[in-house]
Amino acid sequence: MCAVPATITTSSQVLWFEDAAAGDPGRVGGKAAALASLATDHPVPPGFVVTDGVPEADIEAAYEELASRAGTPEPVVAVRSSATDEDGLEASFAGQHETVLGVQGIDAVLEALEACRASGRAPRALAYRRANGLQAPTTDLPVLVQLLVPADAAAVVFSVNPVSPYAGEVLVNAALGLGESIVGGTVTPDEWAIARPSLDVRRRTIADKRRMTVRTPGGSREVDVPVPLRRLPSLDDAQAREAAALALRLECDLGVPVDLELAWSAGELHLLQCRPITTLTQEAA
Amino acid sequence: MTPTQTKAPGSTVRPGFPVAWQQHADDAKLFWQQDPMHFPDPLAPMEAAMLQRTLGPGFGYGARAYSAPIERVEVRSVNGYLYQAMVPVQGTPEEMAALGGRAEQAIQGVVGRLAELWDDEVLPEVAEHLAAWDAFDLVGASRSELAAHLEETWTRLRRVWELHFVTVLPVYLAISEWDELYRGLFPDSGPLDSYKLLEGLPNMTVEVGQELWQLSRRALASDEVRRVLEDTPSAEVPATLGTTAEGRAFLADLREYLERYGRRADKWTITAPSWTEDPTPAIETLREFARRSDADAPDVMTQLAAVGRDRAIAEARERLAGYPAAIIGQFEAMLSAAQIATVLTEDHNFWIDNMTIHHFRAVLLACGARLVQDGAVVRAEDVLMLQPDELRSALAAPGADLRPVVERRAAAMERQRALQPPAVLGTLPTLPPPDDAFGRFVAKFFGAPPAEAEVEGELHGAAGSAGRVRGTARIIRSIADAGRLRPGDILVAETTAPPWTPLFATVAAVVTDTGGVLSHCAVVAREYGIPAVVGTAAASRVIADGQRIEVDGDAGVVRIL
Repeated sequence: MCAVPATITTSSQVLWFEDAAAGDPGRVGGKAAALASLATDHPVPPGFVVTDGVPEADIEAAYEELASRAGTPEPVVAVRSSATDEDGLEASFAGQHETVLGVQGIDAVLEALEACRASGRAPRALAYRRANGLQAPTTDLPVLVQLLVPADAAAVVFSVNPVSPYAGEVLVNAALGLGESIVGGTVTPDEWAIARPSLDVRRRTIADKRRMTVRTPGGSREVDVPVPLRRLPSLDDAQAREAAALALRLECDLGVPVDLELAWSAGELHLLQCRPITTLTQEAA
Repeated sequence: MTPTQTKAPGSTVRPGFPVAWQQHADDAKLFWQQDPMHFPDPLAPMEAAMLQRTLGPGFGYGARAYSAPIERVEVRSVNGYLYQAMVPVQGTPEEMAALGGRAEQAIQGVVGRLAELWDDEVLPEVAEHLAAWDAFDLVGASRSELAAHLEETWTRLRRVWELHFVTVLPVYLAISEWDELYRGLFPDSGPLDSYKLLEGLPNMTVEVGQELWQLSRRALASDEVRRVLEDTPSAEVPATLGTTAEGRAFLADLREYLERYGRRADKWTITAPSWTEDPTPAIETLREFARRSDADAPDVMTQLAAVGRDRAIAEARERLAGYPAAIIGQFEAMLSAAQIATVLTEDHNFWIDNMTIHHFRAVLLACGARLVQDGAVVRAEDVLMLQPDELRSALAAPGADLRPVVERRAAAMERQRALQPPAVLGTLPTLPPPDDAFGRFVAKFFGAPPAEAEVEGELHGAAGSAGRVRGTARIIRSIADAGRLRPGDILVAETTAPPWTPLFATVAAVVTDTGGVLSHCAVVAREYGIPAVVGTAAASRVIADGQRIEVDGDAGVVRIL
């Protein structure tokens, strides 16, 4: 389970996912805290959180440490803001704060970090907070720096089918490349409906996938899928069932239906995000 | 592939080209397309019969082998011109969808193993048929042995043409789908960029040219031989070479070359002698090669193309570095298949098209020689004017005088030569060809109708091979004309058969009336790195011999200057 007691540290520092303090949403933000607590039992790509006021030298050292863990001199990372009250049950904050994908090299990391902090002070984010009854922040947002998975395929998984919650099935939506095209809704993804708890594949729909997000040196880019490849399945059944099994485990851990973002790279599954299904819990309440 | 029948039959009939569909009741309902790329000239009756027995059934066999939505392919000679109709499979939408799924699977399966299909299955079987033809003594055989050999030849021809279509359908689909993939991945690319990754690979067509080039270097090494090539008319070259020792040595090399590569004619027709029968076209090209410097060697072009190919592949791989593994995997698999397919577009021509035409003609001429002895015909070649049954009867029971019928049909062929056959006959489809893998390939091979030129003096065709060049147009009707080509000239022709391709080493550009980006002419022009515009519909009639023209191979435009 994810309830990790918060260790009170007064100095600003880099917190790795495995540090106990990284599980405290009050310090590292909801998104980073959730990932940190998942990282103990699940295949979460390694990363660290930069809280307000961390010296630049510490960030450089952390990026170097990440490089040695990744086994590559300048690993490509995702840099994301992680508001302290983000990803809570009340509001998803989706899309309100900055995310920079495909960041490579320490200078780019520092630049992306500043962009994420600035987004927390931006009028749009402040307005969203007001509308949701949240306070304006007094310090800069914590920022999450995480190894970017060079995804061959990505999926969004709902442990409960959000359209028909009583159907008793997990829904897996997947597409080729990074997950942005699925999350952003620009691709009609392949879909698997998988029975819970047997994990039998009930339905498999291979869609005409016209778009995909690919990595570029400076980040990522959405491109057209060539006509002859649009019906290439993004996953095989075994991968879809592997995704569904992970969703059921996490649902059990958290005690609520969850949605996940997953990526496969060189055949390995990675957990990128796990959140309660906000719409379902509101209905259920 | 799904012509619907709303227009009145016969609506395509043109004055001066009368069509009477009497042989088969349903013919008027079918959509017939002429194939001027392979058959620009009227067909002799024996040739029309051959195509009806080989081309149609062979195409149908190949289509069925891959579950293509084609029930059968009909072939007719109308006023001497070849027309083909693909008869689509009729079915409910569900049946058609199921068939489409099977076709996709079948094609994908074979595209991944094109090399095995050709090396392990098709070529060994073709080689058996060729060996059987080679082993038969056409001159020494008894009359009944020859008659039996003729019947066996019909059976072999039919089988070899089945193998032909088992090969070419996946071959052209592999290249066509590769092009779709490449343009999909790199939408900013030009119409010919995808083919750059397929160029400079060794194939039989290029080998035929390179070996002839090597022969021309050997000729230049001997003053005696060089003088003969410079001063003697092509037809007298062999005899003149025979008068000196150095000449005889070179003649032996030339004969060895012809034995190996000369079973090909200047056109896709049994009416044209192959080089082994009449080496004049090969000698013409040899003379032309002997005028060129080493820098013009075809293998220099091939090596340049190979360097360009490897660079283009490396660039594409770099651009795909951040792409999903599945996409990169498909890119590599389809690239590899398309490269093998590109080689097979030429190799299948060498081993199947040219060889079968050569052997069939040889068998026919041997039969013709017997008929000449009987006094039934005047020349051995006259048998080409007969129907298969007439030839069979004449071999079995000599006595009939076939001279009048030969004369009548030869005269008819001569009259037919003046006709302008319409591109299509019968019942027009009301729908455009479907945008599926098969429909896209058909358009790229035979060419789509060219866009109407809006600018005076401009002809539009398909971009065939990149580059822009200006030069003097030479309208070449047959290889016999090729002697008129000078370095830097632009070859303008209705169509170019593979045996023409050594000429590509000496011209600045090529323009044809027929064909698309996957036609032989375009494929070989890219190998030689010269600009080509194909499928202009009219270039050989509109452009005057000797006119200055500009060929823009990237845009597919020819400008008369």
